[in-house]
Amino acid sequence: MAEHHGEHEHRLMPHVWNLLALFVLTLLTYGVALVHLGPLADLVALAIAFVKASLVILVFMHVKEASRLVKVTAFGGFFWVFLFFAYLIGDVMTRDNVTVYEGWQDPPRKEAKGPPPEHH
Amino acid sequence: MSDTTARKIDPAPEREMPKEHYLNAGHGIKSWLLTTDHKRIGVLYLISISVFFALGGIYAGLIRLELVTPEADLFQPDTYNRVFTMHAILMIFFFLVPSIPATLGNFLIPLMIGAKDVAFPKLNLASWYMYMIGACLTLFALMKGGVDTGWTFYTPFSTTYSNTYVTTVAIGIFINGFSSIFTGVNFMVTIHRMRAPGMTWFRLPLFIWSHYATSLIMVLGTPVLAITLLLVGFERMFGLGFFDPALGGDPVLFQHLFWFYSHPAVYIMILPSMGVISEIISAFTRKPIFGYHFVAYSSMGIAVIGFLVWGHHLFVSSQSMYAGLIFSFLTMIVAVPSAVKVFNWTATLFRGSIAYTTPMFYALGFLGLFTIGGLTGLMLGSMGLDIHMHDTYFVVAHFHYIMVGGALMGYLGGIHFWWPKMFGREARGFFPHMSALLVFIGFNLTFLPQFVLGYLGMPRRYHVYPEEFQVLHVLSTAGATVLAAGYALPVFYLVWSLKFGKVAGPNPWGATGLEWTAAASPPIQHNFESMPVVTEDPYVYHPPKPRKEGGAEPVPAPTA
Amino acid sequence: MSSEAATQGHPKGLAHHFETFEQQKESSFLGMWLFISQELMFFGGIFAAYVNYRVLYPDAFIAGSQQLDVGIGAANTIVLLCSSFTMVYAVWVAQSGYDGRHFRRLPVLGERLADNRWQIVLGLVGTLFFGTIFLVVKYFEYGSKFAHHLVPHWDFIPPVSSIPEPETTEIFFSLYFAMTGLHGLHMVVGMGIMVFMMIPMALRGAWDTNNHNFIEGFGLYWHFVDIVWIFLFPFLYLVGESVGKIT
Repeated sequence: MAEHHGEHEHRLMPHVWNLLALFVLTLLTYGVALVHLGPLADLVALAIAFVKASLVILVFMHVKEASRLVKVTAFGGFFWVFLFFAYLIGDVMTRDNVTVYEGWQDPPRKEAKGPPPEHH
Repeated sequence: MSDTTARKIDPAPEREMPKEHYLNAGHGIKSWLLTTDHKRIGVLYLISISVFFALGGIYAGLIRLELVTPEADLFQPDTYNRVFTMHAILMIFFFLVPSIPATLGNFLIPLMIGAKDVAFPKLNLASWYMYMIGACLTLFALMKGGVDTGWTFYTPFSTTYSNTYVTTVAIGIFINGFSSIFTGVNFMVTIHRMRAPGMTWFRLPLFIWSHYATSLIMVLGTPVLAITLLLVGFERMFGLGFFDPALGGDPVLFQHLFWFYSHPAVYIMILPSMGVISEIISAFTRKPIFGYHFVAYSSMGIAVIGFLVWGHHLFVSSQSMYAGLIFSFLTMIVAVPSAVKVFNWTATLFRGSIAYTTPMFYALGFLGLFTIGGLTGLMLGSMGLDIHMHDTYFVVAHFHYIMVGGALMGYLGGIHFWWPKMFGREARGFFPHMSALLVFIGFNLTFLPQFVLGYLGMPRRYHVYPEEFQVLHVLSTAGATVLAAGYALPVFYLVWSLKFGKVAGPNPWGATGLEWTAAASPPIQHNFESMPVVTEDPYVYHPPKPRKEGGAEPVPAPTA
Repeated sequence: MSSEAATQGHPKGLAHHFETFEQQKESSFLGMWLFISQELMFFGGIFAAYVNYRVLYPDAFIAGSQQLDVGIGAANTIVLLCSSFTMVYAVWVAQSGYDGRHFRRLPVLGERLADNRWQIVLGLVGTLFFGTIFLVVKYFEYGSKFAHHLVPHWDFIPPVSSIPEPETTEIFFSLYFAMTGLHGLHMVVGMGIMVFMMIPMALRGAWDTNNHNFIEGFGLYWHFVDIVWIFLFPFLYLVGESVGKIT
């Protein structure tokens, strides 16, 4: 019962390479940000962040060698957060797109400006 | 167990309590407060949630008392706000969410799958302590004056304007959330990794399936509530402006965050109850559940789709109409797996040999009440109708039909069903039957009038109302009195049975499942004398005839 | 098998309710991953608030982000990645039973470090070292926010005036403090566990190649905190870099 563990070798070098790859990606994302890409910049930064997170998960967190169940758990959480964001953004971005019947007038809007109110 | 004789009812008329069991495995307060035994933790939870149920019940009584007359003659408006808020917070966070999972789930999951304990026994104990700390903090806030925001903590009222103990209660619920998360993690790992040899996924009792689905919601939903309440706390304590209207804060964001947990939380309450009902109906019709696979999958379906319907609480909160359409559609979809369950239970009743025991009374009550609650939920999930009924007593009646008529009926049914397993003695006869009947009648009398009230336009959370509503309100209060009697009754006969009840023996109902066939009542500390091996599907009440012996007798039904 | 015998026949390090080390390890690993999913949803909630306001007030977020120092953010990312690596090292030592023989030739502490337990401690101390650097940098960053009147509620003056609703920048900085604060809190908790629980456990020899689930589980937690920062960096620091300066 005690010897089953030696089946796969535990190696350190993959972690070293992984660390170097993460360094490179950090510099890359910094470099890309300095080039003014406009709206694309967010996508690129997010993509690089996902690659970095995946590297950490797969190598540092040993998910590459783990069972399928753990793989599903590890990435399932991200999927769930993504679903939450998708619904939320779906609401925020379409909130004002409602057609109202003719003759409707928006009530006059109060400006909510001025100094921040006192908190308790 | 494979061996069919093990399922037969013990014929000996005078049974004796087993000499060694988990209740006498250690003595003294310390052996309870430091226990890691899942059964003892289940009992600890049973006691503590009963206290909070009673407290929440007192608040409910006060609400109904105030509403007997149209005028405000018992409470100031502020006091009334605090009373209904505390009723909801105590009942939801400190009773309904932990109710079945933390008591029956803790007690039964390892027994049902053939494990010695849950995967992380110390975490299990920690979850009870987290519950107690959160509960005590909430009680402290309650004694200092309570909260008046409603259990929903809507901003900006809760962040900017309310001058009650919002932060304290929010921290109490935050801490209590850990108890939920620990329980969920524990159950999921236990169900994945601790099953006995031969206990495949489709040999699991449906109770386990529904608890697996519940745990999934607990693990993925609770942390979102935690961060939401933390943001409210940060805004109140440090003035960080997340929801401050003066800075452009978005109240709809808060509602999204809040309901992302709190709608699935309804499924945390109802799913375990559905698991209990599956067990009870199968045991007292002597039939396997009709369409076992569908019922199992429908639990998972409810858990997954139930996460994506939260926006139907925001139809009138200036949520986008297009988002509302999607949420409304998904709300209709989530009714499908719920309906699958109801139809399959009904189909199980068909041509079953039904025994009218107390748990079965509760289960049958559940079927009717849950159906009404579910169908009115569909009405509220339709965008057009919701504009008329939003924040009226129709909503109040609807969710009480689900949470009390559904979750609580299942909880009480389960307690009566597994009581002999938990404490080794039976509580049967006239009084248990009466309690089930009183609860059913009292419940309907309380909440049916509220559907009418709501439809006529009585808004929720008001303590004064026009005179023409008084008849219905008085009916409702009368029903609440009957309901209270129905809830008080079990306390007496269940406690009485601990000492004087008839000794149950390992399988008083003649039911299937490892907890009945392979463990004593009450079970020993490590659950089983030897590791059970499972060789057949669940709910086999009429085993196929063995070729040589000339056929086994079907298991006889118990007498009521 | 009586209840006592059930616990007696068990090898050291295997809890009574598990049958094999494999089962214990798998349970611990899965349990920790579920806990991390829970943490992910926790941070997911506040990221959702960020996304919501980013869509509502894009200019304020760009203007707010431009007040942060990208160089410091990037440097801190590197520091945190290093701490993840030292954590991986500690876990690797516990897994492989590495005895530190390559350290024997070191002039200082060489004899001490040529030992499995001290190698684990070495990894943990390295993690603590980089974690501390990160927090110290964060401390000075927070300090500069006070100096520039960018602390919500206490001392806040909108840093820009040319965007439609300049007061909404306060929401950005509220989120900035809450997100980095919660992240920092997770680090402090982790460092407390390392100092008060794990270093004593390592010195006691609590882990062997069969059972090192505690340190492995903690490693997952630490890497998760790293992942949160990997996302915080572009969300908070890089937003403003892609366009011209807003005044």
